Order: sequence, then structure tokens, then C-alpha cells
Amino acid sequence: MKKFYLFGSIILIAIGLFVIYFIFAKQSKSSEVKLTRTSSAENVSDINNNNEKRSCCSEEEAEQYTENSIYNLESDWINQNGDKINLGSLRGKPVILTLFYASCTYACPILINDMKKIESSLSGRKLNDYKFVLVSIDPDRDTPGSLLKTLKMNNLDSKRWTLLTGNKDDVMNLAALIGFKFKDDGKGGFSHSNLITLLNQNGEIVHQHVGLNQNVDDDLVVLNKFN
Amino acid sequence: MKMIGIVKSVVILIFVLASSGSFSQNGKAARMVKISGGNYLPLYKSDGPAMQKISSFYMDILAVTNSQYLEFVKANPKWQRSKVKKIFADKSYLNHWQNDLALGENVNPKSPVTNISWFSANAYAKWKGKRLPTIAEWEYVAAANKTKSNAGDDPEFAKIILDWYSHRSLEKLPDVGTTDKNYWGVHDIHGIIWEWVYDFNTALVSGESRGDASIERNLFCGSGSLNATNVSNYPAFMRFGFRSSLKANYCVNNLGFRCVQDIK
Repeated sequence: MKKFYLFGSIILIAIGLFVIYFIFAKQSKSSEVKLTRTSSAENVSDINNNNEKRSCCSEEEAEQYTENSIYNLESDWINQNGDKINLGSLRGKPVILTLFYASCTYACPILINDMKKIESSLSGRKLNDYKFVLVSIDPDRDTPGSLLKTLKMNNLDSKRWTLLTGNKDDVMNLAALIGFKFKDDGKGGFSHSNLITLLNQNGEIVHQHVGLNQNVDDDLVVLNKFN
Repeated sequence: MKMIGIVKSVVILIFVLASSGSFSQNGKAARMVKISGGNYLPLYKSDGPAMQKISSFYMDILAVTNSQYLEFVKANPKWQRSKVKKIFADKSYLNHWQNDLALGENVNPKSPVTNISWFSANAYAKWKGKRLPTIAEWEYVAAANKTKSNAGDDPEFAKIILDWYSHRSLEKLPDVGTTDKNYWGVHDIHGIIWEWVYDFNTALVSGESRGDASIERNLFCGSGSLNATNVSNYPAFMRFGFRSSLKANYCVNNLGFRCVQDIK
């Protein structure tokens, strides 16, 4: 009988040691978490919980980008259809990029309108050669569903327009890269820069349009060079 | 008899598990201190809640040193001086080091690392399983003098900090830990370097249109209602001004960082 208890104790200690090993293994592995997401609206919170190894932009891939390309940023995004998007997938086309949030009632609708002004002024050229990208600074609330609603409400053509949501850290990094300032105002909104950024085919910033309801002539001069 | 055996085994198991937990706690305590949460009054207020609640967190007692940062670049080659992309760190990045993997004779391994960008400081913090402090967290800790958790209204304390701000940066930075530790047990939060914070780019001030509310409204959505809460806190104003002048890839020779960690 004594032997039985001794054996039982040894088994329990072994379990204990296994648990310790598991705890340490988990800690050391935290930097190797692999993303295994599917593309659906529910996965926004999944992204929010993962700031570790990204599914895109390995060092070899990052090598492809130029020194000043914002596509060097390792980040994960989901578009209005719930599809996973790498910023690098925008490469090859000039991009008109703005950070915004869907529930913004003052500046963001004007910014979208300013982008539409650029879009309509480009009519007649190869319009689908340009990408219009809106990135949410409010990933907690801006699900792919609400992005799709914004797309429809503003009559944006999904062939050219991509609306993205991701995690807060990626938003912070992207904002830092393009010099966009923003701050949670503590009452459900944000203070933020009013900034439209033009990227060339390599993802380098070639022009920034500051303020609301501004003349888009300068933007067009820059964008027309890409034709 | 059977019961005693089971109890014994359970006690042993609990002991083993508890000792593993306390081991990791001790490992943390050696380098970080717990900062008890509280309320922080932001320097500028908007129409939102005046007081910002801060949860408890761990903070590095010392700023990250040159030798610690060297370990980081050894393990993460893309952050070495010759390999880093310019969009993440400007040409001053680690320009005081001899080369990618050597500090050189003129660099003190124990002094705080400077000439690093926000992106690189962030990457270091993540590599360590930590993060950069927010402005609120950093200012909350920096408001403490040696004896009080909040000495923000103490003119003597402000004078000591301003004296340091008005002196030119030292040619050669001293070892970390050489200035007094404050109420929280944190060293050198003032006195050797300025420090990066995670949300440095939340200061909505534009150099071109200062004082022109109508233009401000045009450049920034929602910034028209900013008001200073404590106009006598000059050191905080200076830090606010300094932060708003930074871009995330700037590398400055008196700007370093320390990390924090959430309490899980």
C-alpha cells in the first residue's frame, strides 16, 4: 500500500514538473506565435490580441521594399469584405491613403469627399490603376461590417476603394510612419490630423494634403505623373 | 492512510507550482518595480474626463543601456545600423557606436542607449515581452520626487528638473542608476536622458498655425477644445513641446527609453 502512495506522489510531482515546463515553454514561445486566422469579421479581436510574429513581411520579403516604403511595416489588416490584407499587396499602384474612423461626424466625411474629388478629377484616365485606401483608427468599433457600410453609404467603388481595420498597435505604427497624429478623446471619438497621403507605386510618400476642403490640384499634378 | 498520502501529494504539487511562480516574480522584481495605479491629470484636457485612470503596471527601474541594446541588435539583425530601413530610423541611428556590433571605446556600455528611434525602441520592448510606457504612465511616475508620489506642484522639484533641462546634454552619459531613485524606486527618470513614450504623437499641435483656432479646426478634427490644466508645470510643458517636435524615425543623442509591462 505504501508503495502505491509513493508511486502516486511521484506521478503527481511528475505532473507538477510537466506543468512548470509547460509554463516556461509557453513564455519562451510567446514570440513565435503563429497566426492562423481565417478571414471573417470576428477575427478583428483575434488580431488585437496578437502583436507578435506576423503572417506577412518576412525579412526576405521586406528586402524587396525600398528604404522609404511604408510597406516595410509588418502589419496585419482586414478589409471591408473580411479578407486579410498586407499593406505590401498595394504595391504597384499609386495609393491615396487616409486614416479615419467610421463614426466620425465632422472631418472624416469631408476627407472622404476630398478623396472622391481626387477620384472624379482622375476620370478618363485609367482610374483602376489607382488605389483609394481608408484605414480605421478605431479598430474596436470598426469591424469589416461597419467598413462595408461606410463604403456603401459613400458610394465608393470596391474595385478601387479598400477600407481597412486591424489592431491598435499597427494603427499606431502606420500613423507614426506617415506623421498622422491622433488621440482618443475619452468620449467615443478621436482628435486627429486631417491628412491625405499620396504614395507612389513603391509605397513611398510623395505628397501630403493637409487640411479639409483643400484644392486638389497639387494632388492631381503628383498623381498624373504616374500615368 | 490513503487520505494522508493524497494530501501529501497535493501539498507537494502545490509547493512545486508555487515555487515556480515565485521564481518568475523574483526574476521580474530584479529589474522592474510595480507602480500602483492612480489618477493622472493630463497636461492638456479636452471635453472628456479630466482625470485619467491609470492601472497598476511594472516599470523598468533603469533605462535600457548600450550593452542591452547591443544584445537586441545581435538577435535582430534588421535593427543593426547598416541594415535598418531609413523609414524606421534616420541616419543618426546608433551613430555613436563604432559599428553594427561594437560600441567602441568611447561608448559606455552601462549608459543609456540613445540615438534610437521610436520604431526601434518599440521593437526592443516587444522583443523583451514588454512595451513602451504611455505619456500618462510615464508622467505619472515622473511626477514623483524622492518622498512623494506626486510632486507636480512642488516648485523645488520643478526647479531641479528645469536646471537639468537648461544644461547642455553631457558629452558622455553616465551609468544608468547614478541619479536618485524616486518614490516608486525608479532611477534617472529625470537627469540623464529624455525618454520615448508609446503615444508621443498624440500631441495635436501644429507649428504653422499656433493660436489660429480656425486653421487648427481645419488641420485637426476635435483639437479646438484643448486647455492646459496646470500652467505652472513648466517641465511638463517642455516635455510636451519636445514630444510634439519628434517624428517616429528621429534618432536624438539625448533621447533613450525604458520599458513597462502590464500586470497579468
